[in-house]
Amino acid sequence: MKRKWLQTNQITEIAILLAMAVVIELAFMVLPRQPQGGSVSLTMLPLLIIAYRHGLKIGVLSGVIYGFLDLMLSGFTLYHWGSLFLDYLFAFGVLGLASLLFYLKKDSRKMFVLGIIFGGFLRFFMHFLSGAILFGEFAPEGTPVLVYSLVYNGTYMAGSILLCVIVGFLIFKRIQSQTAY
Amino acid sequence: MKNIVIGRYIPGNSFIYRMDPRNKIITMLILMIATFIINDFRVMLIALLLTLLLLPIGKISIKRVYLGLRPLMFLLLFTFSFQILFNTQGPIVFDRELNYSILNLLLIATIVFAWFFTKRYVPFKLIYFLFTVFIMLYVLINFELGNVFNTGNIRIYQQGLELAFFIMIRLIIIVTLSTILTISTKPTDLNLGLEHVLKPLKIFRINTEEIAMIIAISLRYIPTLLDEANKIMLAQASRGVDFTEGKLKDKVVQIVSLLVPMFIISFKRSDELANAMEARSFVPGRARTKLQELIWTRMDTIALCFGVILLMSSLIMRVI
Repeated sequence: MKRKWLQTNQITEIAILLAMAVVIELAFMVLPRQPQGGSVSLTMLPLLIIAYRHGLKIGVLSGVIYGFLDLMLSGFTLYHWGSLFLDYLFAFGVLGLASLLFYLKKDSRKMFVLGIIFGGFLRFFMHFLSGAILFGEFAPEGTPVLVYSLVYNGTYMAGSILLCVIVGFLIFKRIQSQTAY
Repeated sequence: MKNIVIGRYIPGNSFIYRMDPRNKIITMLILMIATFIINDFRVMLIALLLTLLLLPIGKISIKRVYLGLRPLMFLLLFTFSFQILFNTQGPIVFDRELNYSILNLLLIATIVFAWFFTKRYVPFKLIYFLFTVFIMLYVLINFELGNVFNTGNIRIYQQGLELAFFIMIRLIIIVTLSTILTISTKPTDLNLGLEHVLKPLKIFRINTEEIAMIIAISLRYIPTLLDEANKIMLAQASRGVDFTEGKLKDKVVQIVSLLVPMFIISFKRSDELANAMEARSFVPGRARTKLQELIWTRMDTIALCFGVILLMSSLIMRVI
């Protein structure tokens, strides 16, 4: 059972935009980081642009690949096996679901911004779940774990989403004018 | 921006470096599973000893492993203190009163000052901090003169202590193993190895070859794009954009002035790359030859056997 491959130009574009996501992540090292990873950054933007330009399937695929690449470059530091999925693969993979909104109304700046918020929220939800489960394993039962996860993941995710929305809003016209394949 | 290191690879030469990446990944995975299977404290200590033994044998600098552990320290401390303070099972190991007297408070103030002024000269800051906290607790417990008031007892239960150390050692082993893997393997080799190791995912119709190819191109283009970013930064600076300071609004303008050219350049580059690949008759999905073939040596088989033996013994230990 052979699956069809992606087109060559799709492969290269995904690869280079993923490289750009990594570069942005590196460039934003200057901003203060939280102790257990997670920082305010524009990393989501290239992934959302892939989702915008190539649709749902490729968007999710490239998100998952980015999660994997991120994990690889940060040295496979996993605190818990579930963290592999919730903090890396799924967390970035769900960004591709933002393209559901892009399908609704194409070439609309408003929809692009809404998509960023939607995708960012889904990613936040994944990190939130991971925090709740991971700390749920380490600590005795109780609600403070949920609150902790909410506050911890909420702070940097809110900052990231806000930054992505502002920058995405400003650069949308330039991205849109690039020819899509 | 020049001195940013991508990934964690450090050049070196030892048998761990020369191993086949496929084998390294599989063996590390087996060892990690073995670590999760262990449920006895003494066996865990042996596992820690074996893991730490790998470092000098494989000529991997301990300092780098410590740096890899550093982001974990917060989680370790959190778990450790949580278990020690709130786990109340098993016999009491330690039960002493905390006394607060004038002498104690003065002593503690001195210790805090000493810590504050000497901490910048000590290499391992966190260990130094823990040491200071330990001394403070010691002072609180053992000295009293003109007692002012005392709070409740500190009670540490055996199971809390064991579980705290158990979780801590397990995390340390796992992080050390993954650090050894990523320090001794180049990201590109790692990617090549993972492509082979993850091949069974084909059952779920996941095309690992394609994914490995995307990751390989990404890894290749990260330094190029970093260079590009640097160039654009200089170009914009020569037009008067100041990247060093500014309010939040200015920062956004700076970011946009950097990002827009970068996106456009990446689209162009990807287009060029696709053309170049197709001009060299790259057809997606067709079988390709490789420049670097992975070679499985006898050392790999031995290491894999060791891993399996350790996994088996940890399984047997658990059953017994």
